[in-house]
Amino acid sequence: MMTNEEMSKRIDLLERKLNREKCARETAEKALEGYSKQAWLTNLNLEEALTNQTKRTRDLEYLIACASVKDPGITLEDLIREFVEISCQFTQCSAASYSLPSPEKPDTNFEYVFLMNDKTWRREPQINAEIQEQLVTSEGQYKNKNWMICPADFKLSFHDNPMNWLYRFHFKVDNNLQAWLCFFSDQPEVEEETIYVLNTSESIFLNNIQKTLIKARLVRRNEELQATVKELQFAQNQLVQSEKMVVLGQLAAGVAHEINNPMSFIKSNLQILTDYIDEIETCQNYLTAKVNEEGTIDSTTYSQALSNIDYQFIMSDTKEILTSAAEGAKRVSEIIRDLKSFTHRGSGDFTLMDLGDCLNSAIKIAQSGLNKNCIIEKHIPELSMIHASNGQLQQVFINLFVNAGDAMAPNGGTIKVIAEETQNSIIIRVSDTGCGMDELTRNKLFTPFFTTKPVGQGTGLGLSVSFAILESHEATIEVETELNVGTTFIVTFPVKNL
Amino acid sequence: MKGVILVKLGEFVESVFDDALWDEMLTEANLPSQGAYTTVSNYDDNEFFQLIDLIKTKKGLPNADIQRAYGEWLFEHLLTLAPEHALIIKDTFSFLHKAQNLIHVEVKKLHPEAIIPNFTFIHQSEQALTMRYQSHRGLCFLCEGIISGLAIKTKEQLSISQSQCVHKGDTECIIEVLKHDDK
Repeated sequence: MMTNEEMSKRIDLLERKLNREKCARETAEKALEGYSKQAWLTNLNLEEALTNQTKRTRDLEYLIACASVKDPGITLEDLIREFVEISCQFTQCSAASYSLPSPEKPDTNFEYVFLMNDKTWRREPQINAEIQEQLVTSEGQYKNKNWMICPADFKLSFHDNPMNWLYRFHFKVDNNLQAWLCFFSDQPEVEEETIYVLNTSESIFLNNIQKTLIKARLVRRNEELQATVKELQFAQNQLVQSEKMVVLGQLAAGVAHEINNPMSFIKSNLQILTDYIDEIETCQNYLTAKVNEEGTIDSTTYSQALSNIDYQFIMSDTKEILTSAAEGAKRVSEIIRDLKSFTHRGSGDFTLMDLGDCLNSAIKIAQSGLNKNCIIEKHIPELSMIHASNGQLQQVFINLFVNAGDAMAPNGGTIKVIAEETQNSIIIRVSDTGCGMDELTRNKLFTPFFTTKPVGQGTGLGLSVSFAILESHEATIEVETELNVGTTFIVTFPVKNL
Repeated sequence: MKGVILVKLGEFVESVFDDALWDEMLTEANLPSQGAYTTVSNYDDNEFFQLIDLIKTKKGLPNADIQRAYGEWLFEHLLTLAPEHALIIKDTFSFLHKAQNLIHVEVKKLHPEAIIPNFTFIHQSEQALTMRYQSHRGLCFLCEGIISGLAIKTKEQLSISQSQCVHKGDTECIIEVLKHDDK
């Protein structure tokens, strides 16, 4: 049992404890209230932040959609339609339309309407008059560069609700023609924020319009360029052929001489053969008359008659004459064959060919046109086959040989033609012991119409045409020259595994 | 200091001794808070040290022993306030790492103003762990007690000592925890 004093002490203790507990509870409640208020404020802020964030997301999604043109080859009209669709959705408008005049159709007006509720385009020709009236009467409440947002009160023939706002936007297209976009809203308010976003989307959209216009211009320019390239290619082919004919003309005298020689001895041999046949015929007639007169002839008379026309000599000489004529005819036929392959027009006739054969043919053709004092020394080993145009390469080599001959005129000299094959290439060196070239000539060597020959003798196209031909064969040409010593042209062909 | 430490100190004194001692201590100390502690408030560190000193004076116990005993008692009571995932305790060593790398980090997130002790693990083997205890409050003995309470929970036989201690004039407190056998 507790005494009264102990009881009183205990009561005092419990009172103090209770007071501390009360005090602690009040402190805790205050803290709780503080936390609660803070939580409420935080919640409010979060809700506001979330609303703003949702708006920002919507704004950003709209701007991203404006910026991303789905099809890079989109037409101007489709680009405008895309922009109208996404802007109609963003501004929560009920309908939208556009007018896009072009140089071909400058009087184009509003004709098609985009309806937001079913997200489709409809042709509504009467819309033009309705929009034109609004464009004239409406006055902007919000204006931003090209955008204007006007309060309105009108009904569209194809829509039930009256429209409260008209959003209009205009911009320049080709030839300073003005395009228009119109959006119709039945919303009671326009959010100020929307206007800022439209301002940004405007720049993006106009940028896309510019890109599309530039692209269309580029496509047109590209088509023109392609046509020009085709014409140039045709002209180049003509030029190559013309140059070939010029070289052929220069060679004609030599070739004629080359053909004349065998032809003249064939002709004189034929004359001799005719004489021989006449003599044999005379002898034959004499012997026939003798047989008719005497019934027979003796061997002495027969031998005497043959001896009189020197029959033995005629027979042996006839064999020689025929062999010689056959050789002459063969020579003429060879010259004609080489010329034929050279003059053959071959811009694209790349075939598998032997560069050594081509060089030998070119040497044969060129040789006849060269000065008699010009000697051609050649070292042409067996070479790998390459894909090339025989006629074009003959033209290049003949040109080099003719130039070498001209460089050594009038005294003549030696032209060396040396072919060599490495692992990846075939190298042809054509060198002469002529006058060589100075720096100026060397620098202009491949320039069209540059020539060192007297007026009327050189076209100035030979090496430039050769350069173009070699380029089309992926071959390179280099020059080593020394004044009064000589010049070497080095042509390198790539060898590909066939 | 977080109010929970002082609220729990009151509960500890009342349960180990009696409520008369706690009342006597608070009356005598005449603290700014008057001992009306709540877990949601913060209090001056000195109130805690004054109360520990009063237990020492009144019961003739060394300060270190009081803190160790309170720490051991406190661990289990703090555990009831912890979130569920913090209650998974594999063993003492891994929980000490968890306390430093997870619990202290989360407490700091919830209460940025809280002053948290820092543990640096210097050496660890299967049987022994050496860690540096850093706190400007110097409650290394309380920490020893909490580790001891943790060992009770994990049913591990541990010996906990300090090879260096700021209360002995050292520059830092190094706590050595040694496992005697498996649980």
